[in-house]
Amino acid sequence: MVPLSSYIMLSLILFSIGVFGILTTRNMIRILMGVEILLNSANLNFIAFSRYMGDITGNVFVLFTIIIAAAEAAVGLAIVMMIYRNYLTLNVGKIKEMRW
Amino acid sequence: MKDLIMFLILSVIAVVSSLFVFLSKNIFRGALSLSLLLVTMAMFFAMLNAEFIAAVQILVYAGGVLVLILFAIMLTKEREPSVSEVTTSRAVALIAFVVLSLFYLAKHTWEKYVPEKEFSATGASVGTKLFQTYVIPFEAASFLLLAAMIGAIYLARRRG
Amino acid sequence: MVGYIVPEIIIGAFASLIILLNYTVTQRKILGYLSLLAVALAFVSLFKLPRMTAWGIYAVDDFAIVFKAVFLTVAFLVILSSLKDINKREGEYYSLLLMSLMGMLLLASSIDLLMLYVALELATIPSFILAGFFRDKQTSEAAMKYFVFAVVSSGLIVFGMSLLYGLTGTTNIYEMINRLELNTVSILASLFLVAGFAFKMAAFPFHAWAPDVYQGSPTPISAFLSSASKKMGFLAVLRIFYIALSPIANYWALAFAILAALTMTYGNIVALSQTNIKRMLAYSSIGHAGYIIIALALLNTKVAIFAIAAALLHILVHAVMKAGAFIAGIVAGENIEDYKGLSKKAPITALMLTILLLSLIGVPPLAGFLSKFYILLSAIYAGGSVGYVLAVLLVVNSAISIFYYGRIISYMYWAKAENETKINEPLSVTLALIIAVILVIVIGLYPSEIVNYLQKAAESFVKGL
Repeated sequence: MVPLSSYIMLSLILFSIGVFGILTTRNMIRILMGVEILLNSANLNFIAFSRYMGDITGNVFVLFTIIIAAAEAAVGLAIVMMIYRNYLTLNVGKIKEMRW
Repeated sequence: MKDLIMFLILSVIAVVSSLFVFLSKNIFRGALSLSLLLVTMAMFFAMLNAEFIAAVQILVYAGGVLVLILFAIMLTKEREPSVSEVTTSRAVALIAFVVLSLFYLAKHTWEKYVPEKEFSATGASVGTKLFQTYVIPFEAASFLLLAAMIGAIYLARRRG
Repeated sequence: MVGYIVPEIIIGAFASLIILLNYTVTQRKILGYLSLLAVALAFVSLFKLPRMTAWGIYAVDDFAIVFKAVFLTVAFLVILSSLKDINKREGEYYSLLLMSLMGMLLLASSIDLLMLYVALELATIPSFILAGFFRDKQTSEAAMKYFVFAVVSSGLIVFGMSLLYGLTGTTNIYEMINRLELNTVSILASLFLVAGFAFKMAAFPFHAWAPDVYQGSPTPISAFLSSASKKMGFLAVLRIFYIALSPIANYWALAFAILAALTMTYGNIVALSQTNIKRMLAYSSIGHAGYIIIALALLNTKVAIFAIAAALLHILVHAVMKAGAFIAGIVAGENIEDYKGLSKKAPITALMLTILLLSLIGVPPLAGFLSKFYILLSAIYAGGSVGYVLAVLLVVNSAISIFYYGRIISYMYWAKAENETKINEPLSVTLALIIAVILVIVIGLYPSEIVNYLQKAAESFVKGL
């Protein structure tokens, strides 16, 4: 049996990669993909805890998280389309109309 | 024993593919790497007896979200290839954070959780909880999807 | 049978109705008035809500009702002020606004992590679209920044929740009290949650999105974001931290104390240099959020209940004041130069705005003074170095705020405008301003009844139903 802590360590590694990626990329779509990685790592936590504690609530939580992530992705990509139409770039560094 | 080997192989695939999402020169390849990660997660879920969620993960994430991302990538052609700003200081910060957190987590042993042999998260058991205890979030989620749909259509339309 | 959830049902039903009618109705005005009706009906239904718990995840206690009242009031003001451009507003605007409101109402009653998370997302996802509603360069930038920061904070929050679930085996916040212990993982979980919610509350150093987003969004939406969406963060923090994480209170209370000090000071100082009104109000919102976080820092002391009541009062009062201030900007304009001579160009708006600004500064006997004073009292009663330092910072920052609020007032009454043409003051906007001002004055005049009720609400929230 794989120990529970291995799953948690893996999810933490994935979470860190996600946060790190979001902080270091300039492309909006990559940021979105990073967020999906974050949410997936949390889901792994939930499912692992659910299995090892025998409690189904974790699975239900993950179901909702997946739903919400899909909705967020849809809206986020619509925003991406809108940004692209207005600025012709997805480089978040270049999208800075508003200043001090 | 074969559980451990499976876990190790899948973990390596997961970590490498999630790194590649950000480090790839071509963003399309990054998205495909993301799909690999999503499928790997589904396999983890299946290993953890969460069959229903594993199926949902593949359908919704790998099948829905990923296709959306691919469409967005194809419809928004960037002039220059994206370059990520991976400076050494940030890499160090990342590694420090991961090591510290792992240290903290390792100190807390999760041994009080003895996994039962007979736990299985079937669609039926998830569904029972969903329609009894969590019926309110269920209805709220349907509004959420409606809002996302209305909003996404509105935003992606041309002006005027 | 479903009596406890009536407000949400009303809002949800009207939201669906509006989007259905969007494609059949030619008279756009109907959609706006329908949404006003929805909010009014929901508000009225608040008075008859049964106090009960449903399914173990949804509780109607006085605490929830206070927040629902705040959200509904802000929504009313925002919808009212949006009616001005009514033929330009598509039905999606009102429908999304109502759905976001529905999420906030659900959040007010959430006592389970899952319910809380779903409600939080239901409230924020429509606001992404609303922030970018004009689809031009500025609003699309606002929507993008808001989106990125909000989803990252969502990720942090859900990860923290997953750790809490793993530690306690439950997602119900009242059950967690008994099961949570102090160990490294619980501290890590609270760190994730503090970071995630600090984004939502726009606390320093996670505030970076707020000025750009408030500046770039359509003005009524800026009002909505600062007066309703931000308050959601405080609501969730109170529920989760004060209840579920109470065993480790000493740790996160200190984190909040630091956040409060930094946020207050940063917000007020940077506001001094702003020339765009919406941006200035954004920084002032950050400052006021800092005042509220002071109360969060006092939750591990003997004055916790009083601090919660003070925070509730300031949440209510600031929501109304800030919404009014943004709404005044609809008439007056975005740049501070536009406010010169406003007393002649738009006399009613100038007068209403002056009252609201005086309340924001904290001039007695207006409500703004009252709520700040109560927070100050709770900090002093709590004592200790934390309490006294925060109290001093509160006073100092209020003094700083006199300068940037006062500058607007002086421009309005004592500066000469370039052209003296009168500005049109639409009835709906004026009405919204008048309601906001009435509320600010009335609350300022009857403090004891309101504070007593808020204390009762704070106690009910602590005991749990």
